[in-house]
Amino acid sequence: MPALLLFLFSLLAAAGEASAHASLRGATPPDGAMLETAPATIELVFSEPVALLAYSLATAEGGTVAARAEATGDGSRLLFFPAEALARGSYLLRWRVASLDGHPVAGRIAFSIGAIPALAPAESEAVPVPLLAARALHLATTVLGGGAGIALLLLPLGSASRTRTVRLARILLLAALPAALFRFAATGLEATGLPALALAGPEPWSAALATGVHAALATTTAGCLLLAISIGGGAPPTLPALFGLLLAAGGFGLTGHTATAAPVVVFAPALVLHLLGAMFWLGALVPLALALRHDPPATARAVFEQFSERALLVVPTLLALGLLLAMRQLPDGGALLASPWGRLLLFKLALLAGLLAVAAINRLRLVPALSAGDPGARPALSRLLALDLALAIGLLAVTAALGAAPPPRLPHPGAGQELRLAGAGLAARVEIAPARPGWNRLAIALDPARPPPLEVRLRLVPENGAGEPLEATATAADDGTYRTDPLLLVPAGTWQLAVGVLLDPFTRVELSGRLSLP
Amino acid sequence: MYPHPTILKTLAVLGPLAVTSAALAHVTLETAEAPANSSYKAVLRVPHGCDGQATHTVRVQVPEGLIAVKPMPKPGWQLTTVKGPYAKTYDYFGSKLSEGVKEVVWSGGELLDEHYDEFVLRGRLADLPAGTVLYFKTVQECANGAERWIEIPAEGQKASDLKYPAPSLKVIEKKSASH
Repeated sequence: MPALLLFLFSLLAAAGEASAHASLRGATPPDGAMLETAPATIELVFSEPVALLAYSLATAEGGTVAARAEATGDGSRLLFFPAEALARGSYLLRWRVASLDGHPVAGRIAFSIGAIPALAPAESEAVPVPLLAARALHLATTVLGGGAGIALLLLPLGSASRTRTVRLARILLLAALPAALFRFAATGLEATGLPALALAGPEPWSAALATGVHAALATTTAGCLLLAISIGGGAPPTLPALFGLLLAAGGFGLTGHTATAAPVVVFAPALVLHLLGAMFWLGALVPLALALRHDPPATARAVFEQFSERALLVVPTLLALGLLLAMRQLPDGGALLASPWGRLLLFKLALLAGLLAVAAINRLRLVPALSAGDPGARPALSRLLALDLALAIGLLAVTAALGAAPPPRLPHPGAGQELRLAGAGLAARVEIAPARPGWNRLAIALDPARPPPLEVRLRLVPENGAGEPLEATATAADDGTYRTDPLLLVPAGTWQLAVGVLLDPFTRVELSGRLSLP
Repeated sequence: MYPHPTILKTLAVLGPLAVTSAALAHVTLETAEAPANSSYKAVLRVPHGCDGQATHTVRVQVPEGLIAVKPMPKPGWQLTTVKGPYAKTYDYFGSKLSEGVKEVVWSGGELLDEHYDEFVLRGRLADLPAGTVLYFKTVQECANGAERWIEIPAEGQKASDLKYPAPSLKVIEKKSASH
């Protein structure tokens, strides 16, 4: 009996000795390829004849593409025919074959028709200029236009300045509409990384829709339009105007890292109130200047006194809310100087200090002088209001930048996810960007004190059954990290990650961990 | 739709069994067991190249415990060694030995994927306890990469669980009356 077993075993052993496991020799298109046009077939070439056990062709979004498979030649080449022409986008072919020795071998190749989208380099923290300009324009038109609306509702403007303020408010509020569109387009371009010409196609628009910013922009724009329609010359505050104002400010409470900080029930209303306060303060500057120039002195005096009195209540509330909102974004005081966001906040505070200094001069010296009928007060006030307005516009631009930059409480969008792996006396930091299903880049940082490794390899296996592993080599970058080419990580979920570091020709240390793609 | 010998699919079912046999396609030692305190001739069997390519260099790390190593030259291959200190001083026929060959490199050759070859070195197994396993980590270098037979089974793992196990030698009880 043992002899028979031994004989059977030797038969199997002989089968195995004939060759090692099949391996993928090449693919057309090759793994990671960026193609101009859709391939009619996908070809895999193996080191030996294989039997195809299973395969699937999927889009980067997870959809399935029907495809037919065929073996050619001696069975070492597999051809896949997609049922229909492949559209622009990224595709993943997963396969599982049996090699001659019966050992199953699985793998995947990914390729993209058109550029690989949304792969910002990990070190890029700068917000693109068009998006920044769009955000600033949108914020400035809404705040100054809405503020002019508030001035019409709250300040006893004379008829001369009232007519001009209505005109100003309408221009600004109507300008908020193209500004919102500009911001929507810039959001889409930033998300896809495409040039402005791509706006002719659907990609940036659908990417912008995916960010959810459209609900906020539609709300503020509707509010601005409603406010622009309902502010009539000389008419008392109307309900539609108040509603429009609330929508214009409320839209900002629907998106962004400030409004969506937990608990939302606190921070979203806090942001909206902060914004309404800013509208009141900054938006009143031009109407005040108009009143000073065009209204009779007694009327202008009343307007300034009214504004001063209300500002005494609004400005401290505005500052307190701003402090609350900013502190939520800062994990600690050190982040104020250490992060770009923190430095922007300091800049905003400096501009604010300037505005407050001017306001203090106005309130303590010039407004009493104006009330006392001092002839020098008018030109002095006029000059200071112009300075105020310049500071206010700067403040709004910095605020727009604060909204676009990642605050310290959030991971940087370029950095994605960070994993720390350790074992066998070796530690590694792995950064996955953007750490979402789709194309990702991995960067591995090792202890710089060690001699550089001969090779850094990665193996990624999704945990949810679709077991085809993804294997990649990371190459040394200038900054001392080891980086991969873009890898198509699909599906979402948890992946097992193994990093093999070849320390010398005979020593490979394997570090493993898990990463989750939401 | 998929014309292929059904035998392959049958083999696929038998896959788990066949995996054991695949070990024979690895780089292995001809003699996998040897008594302690004896001369040992290590014959490394290299059954194929790297992924279809010809092997041009074979690099072997001499395990600690195998001393006084002398590699066998091969026609068509350049032979070099790397010497270094041992982890401890060994007794070698009465004299003390604290350093020797730690790495052997046969380079500049050409071993085609469809051919088979053997690489030989000789040394003396120190007086190691029976059951000790020595690993001869071996690297096959080819034009486009390398196959590294350098994996050592972890606790509870078998060499057959590994994709690239290092060739291993098990030390057995020394012969009672040596020499």
